[in-house]
Amino acid sequence: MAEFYLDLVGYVCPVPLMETKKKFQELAAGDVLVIETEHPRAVRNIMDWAWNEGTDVDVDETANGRWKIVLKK
Amino acid sequence: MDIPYWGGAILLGMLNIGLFYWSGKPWGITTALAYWGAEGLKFFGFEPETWLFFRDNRLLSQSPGGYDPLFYGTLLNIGVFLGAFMGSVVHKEFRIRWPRRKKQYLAALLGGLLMGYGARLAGGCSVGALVGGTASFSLHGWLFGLVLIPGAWLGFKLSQKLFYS
Repeated sequence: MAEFYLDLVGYVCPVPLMETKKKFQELAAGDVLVIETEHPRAVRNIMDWAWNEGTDVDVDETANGRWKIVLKK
Repeated sequence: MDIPYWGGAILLGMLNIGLFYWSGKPWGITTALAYWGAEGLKFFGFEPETWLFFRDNRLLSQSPGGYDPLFYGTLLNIGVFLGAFMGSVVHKEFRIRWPRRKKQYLAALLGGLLMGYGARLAGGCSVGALVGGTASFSLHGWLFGLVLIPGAWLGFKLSQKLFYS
């Protein structure tokens, strides 16, 4: 059970979702991926993708317009 | 005060109907931007008033005719800025965001130029040509939408290759 971190601040669609998908593939079952982004659309994108995959997703707005997303494989 | 996406769509549609009733033309954005650019060029000695593009009303999607940089499209665009700003403030999402890499500035500049130029050639952008066109049963809106899809795909692939790899 390892925790991975992706800093995606400063990237806009579709980069955050693509980077998230790429990183998530490398994870083993039980691993956790933490993502930080400032792009509202990317939050929506990643949530939709996670729901479609049946992945556990938790979103937290850490500051105005900045989000921390936690995905569990 | 949360409005769902479809609520926003209905609201935009009704506002567009109101605008169409009042001005006789559907909502557009880029015609006013062309005037902003033309006004800027005047400082460098250009005379955009004499250009065919501005003289001939048929080539423009919104302008009431002749060279008129103060037409209502400028006001609409200021409204878009203010509305987007207020929306992000109300939802506590407002934030000054900076691109991650220097390359992204170039990508934004080039993308903006290409989209602006394309919108003038097509007689509107995704708002003026696609939304206004399809809503008024004009064939050009559907054509615009059809070509938009491979265009967006190509732009996506190119920007991936040039700016993010």
